[in-house]
Amino acid sequence: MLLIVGTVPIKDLPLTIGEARVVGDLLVVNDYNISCTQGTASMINAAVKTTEYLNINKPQVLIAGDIGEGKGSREIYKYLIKI
Amino acid sequence: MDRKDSKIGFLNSFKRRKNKLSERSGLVLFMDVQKALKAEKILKNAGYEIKLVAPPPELREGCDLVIAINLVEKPGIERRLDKKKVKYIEVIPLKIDTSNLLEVVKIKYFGNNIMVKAGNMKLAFNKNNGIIVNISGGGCPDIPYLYSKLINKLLEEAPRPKNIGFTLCALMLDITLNESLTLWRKG
Repeated sequence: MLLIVGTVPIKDLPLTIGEARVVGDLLVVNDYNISCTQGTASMINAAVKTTEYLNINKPQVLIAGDIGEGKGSREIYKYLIKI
Repeated sequence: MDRKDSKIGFLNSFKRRKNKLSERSGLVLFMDVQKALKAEKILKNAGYEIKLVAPPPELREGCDLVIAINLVEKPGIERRLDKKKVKYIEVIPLKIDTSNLLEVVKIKYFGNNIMVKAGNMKLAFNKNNGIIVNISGGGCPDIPYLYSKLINKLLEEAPRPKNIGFTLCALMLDITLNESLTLWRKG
């Protein structure tokens, strides 16, 4: 299983785990729509397209919102330490 | 020993003891201990990884306590302290040469676009309509957020990175925006 972990620049996005899909210009994880701009979202988008081409399982993602304060990163680290 | 040598000596001795500070570290100087302690509490509650330390005598401009910070977080820390009305004397880098380098602004012309570079940050805008077409550089955690807020915006309507960002990259990006606005207004 491919797991991609990172933050996305949406302030109130909670810790979210799920399969990533690309719908139009957006990345969709569970019910959250995420713009494919820079960083994690771009990487997930590329991974989704690659797995589609290779006809293998889509990547699972673990993401949290973070606008640069470190809140989302800390949530992710806490979660990873627990599991 | 001059002031710079003193800073480097302090940095080396601190590295040996705690292995925490680096060339990207800075110190927040305060007039009195109460303000330093209050600032430490505020910044720790805000999630910053900071440390209350005692500087060597050469660096004591106010009280005997300073807060060691990651210099890349300087704008966010200054804004947090200003918001909480905690007065500080200044934030100084442990390596003075670094801040001088980061203030250098360079301009390049690419057809219809103009790229302004400040330190490690670059902003490009269309010279015909003033729309921001790209932001690159950095590596700080607030860059994807700043990108999402500035890209495809008119220079005149874009939010100021120093007001919404938290890091040194945001400060550098703000310098590029300021310079871009000057170029755009000149026509």
